[in-house]
Amino acid sequence: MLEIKDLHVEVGGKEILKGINLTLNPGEVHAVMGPNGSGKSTLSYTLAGRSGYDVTGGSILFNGKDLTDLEPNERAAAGVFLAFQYPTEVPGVTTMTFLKTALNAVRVARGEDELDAVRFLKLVREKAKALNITDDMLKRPLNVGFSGGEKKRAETLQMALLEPTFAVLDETDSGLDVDAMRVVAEGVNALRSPERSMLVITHYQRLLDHIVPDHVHILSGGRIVKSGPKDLAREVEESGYADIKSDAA
Amino acid sequence: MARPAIQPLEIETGFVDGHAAATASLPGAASQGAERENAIKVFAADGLPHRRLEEYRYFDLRQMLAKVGPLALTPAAEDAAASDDAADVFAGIDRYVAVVINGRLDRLKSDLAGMPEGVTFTSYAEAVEMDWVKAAFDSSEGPHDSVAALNHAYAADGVAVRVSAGVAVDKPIEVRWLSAGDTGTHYHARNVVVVEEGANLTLLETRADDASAPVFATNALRLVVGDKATLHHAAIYADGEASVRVAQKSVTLGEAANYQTLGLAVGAGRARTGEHVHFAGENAKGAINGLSLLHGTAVMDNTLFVDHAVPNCDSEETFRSVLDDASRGVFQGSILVRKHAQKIDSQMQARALLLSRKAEMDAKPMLEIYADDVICAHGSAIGEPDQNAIFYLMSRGIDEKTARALLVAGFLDDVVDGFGTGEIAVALKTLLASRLGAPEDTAQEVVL
Repeated sequence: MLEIKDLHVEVGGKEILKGINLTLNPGEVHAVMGPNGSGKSTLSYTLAGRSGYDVTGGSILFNGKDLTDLEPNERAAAGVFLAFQYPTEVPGVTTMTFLKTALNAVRVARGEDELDAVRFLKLVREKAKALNITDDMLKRPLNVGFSGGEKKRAETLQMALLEPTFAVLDETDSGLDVDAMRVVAEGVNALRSPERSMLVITHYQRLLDHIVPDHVHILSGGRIVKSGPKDLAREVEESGYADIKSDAA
Repeated sequence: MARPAIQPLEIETGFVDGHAAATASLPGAASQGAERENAIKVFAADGLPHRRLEEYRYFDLRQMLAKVGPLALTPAAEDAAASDDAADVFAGIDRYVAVVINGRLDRLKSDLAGMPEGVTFTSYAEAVEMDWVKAAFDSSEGPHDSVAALNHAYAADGVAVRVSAGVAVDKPIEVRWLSAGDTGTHYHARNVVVVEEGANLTLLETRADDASAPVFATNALRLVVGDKATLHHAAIYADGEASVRVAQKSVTLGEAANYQTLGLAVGAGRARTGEHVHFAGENAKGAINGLSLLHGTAVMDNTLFVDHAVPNCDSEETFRSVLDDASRGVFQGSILVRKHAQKIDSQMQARALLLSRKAEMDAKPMLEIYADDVICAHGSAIGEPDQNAIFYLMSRGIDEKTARALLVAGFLDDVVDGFGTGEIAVALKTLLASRLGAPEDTAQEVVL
């Protein structure tokens, strides 16, 4: 499904990712863990296609197609989704308007028909209810004044509506207390399916108690220095990143 | 100090020399003639305002009209079409409509039937000698500049509205300003709206001059909002490229009055609004908003003076501009809090998004505070659309053009939301969305 080969990425002329190799099969959930500054966010932004993250070498093959030349919206249409660590506030644009615009853009790009207001509303309410998102939240400007938990639930709602086949969850646990994290993790787990792969990027192991990965990779200095089964996350939690780094060297 | 000798422009000489001939067609009794004589003398002494006057620093009328040459007074016309469909923004709202063509009220084209008892709606020409009209103009605190003098000297007509104490006008009144002409002309309108104690009025204005040759127009609007009275006012500026317009507004707010205004500029011409808001009674609230969405060589200058003369009042001034191509936005806002005007809460903010390297925004917010127990703030920010937000929207499948349109519409809608949630706000947001190619607000489409 997703094949990252020898990926090199520069930001502002500085090389951050120095040859990443990663393969996700359909239905798999992989976790990428790493200390601050290891390149975790760079990896997620690069996958989503943010400008300023220049791919200087390697490729990102998604269902056999190279993503690196696609605009962010084209990647979304192809089935890529990034759940942001810090979802951007967009004053004046109601969450509802945003969701309808995004969903219909993706549907049209995928060759499906646009949803009218009535069908859209029915769908969004059904998905919102499962995430404990109120009508009031949907009427408010996107992410403006949302609490940390509300922002992450809104991200999960977007994922549920856009139905990506590959989702990157960038530090989804940041800014969440334990209860809020549980709600979000349940939402994410509900979206796990044999056709959908996920890349869970996190600094801490605690999120992986709720979203249990099939594989864990340790990112350090722009490279994946160690890969292993889910127990690797616990190892990191116990011994810290310093030992892992020396292990690889 | 004597004004430095400046060679009068042909257009200025034309205004002065042409006045005697024009006055025969102007309304009112002999006393009006004398007032107009005085006004043209003031104009003759000062000429058109120019950039060395602080208030006109960014809207140099003298330079703008230097090459225009003498203009004839715009003749009365039987018909005129709006040059821009923005003038139809309120078409879906149940309202009274007054059509003013070339500055003159056209009763046949207007739809004013069924106004409730206690509402007087007439033309300035008919009302000019009435005591309530004279009293309203006599109590105006300004602006009193040479444009105001020229306006007074030449005003042929306009509208005069009086809402008696306690009357709530059942529907908004829209004044549609239209003009037509294929040679360069000038026209001037004078208007007065008095909302008496406890009364309630929503006043809408749409302007869309359709002229292929330069038209210079001035408009004076005197608003008196009585004690506990409410006035909501929305004005659309959508004039054609050949138009140069100066709209002046003088507002007096009584005790516990509620005044909300929103100006929206979407036209191609060059326009300036000069507004004075005088807080004369305690516990009054004023919200003064201006939005500009400009392209081409359009100019919108919002110059505002808020005078907090009494304690315990709130004012909010919010101005936002979105400027594309070589368009230019101006905000000059000044808040004066006088010595005994304690407990004033006044918040002034001017922001602009520049969509092109050639676009220009000049912003100058000012506070002048003599009272010591007040909350006053001003802010100004000029920038480009937020790249983080564009990426965020694009990452959800929205193409870049639509993402930008959504952001820009949101930037402006934010202010409309503050203005109200009723059908007028919806109409304004629909207009903005269509101008920007942005998706319409879904929350308005469906009842949640």
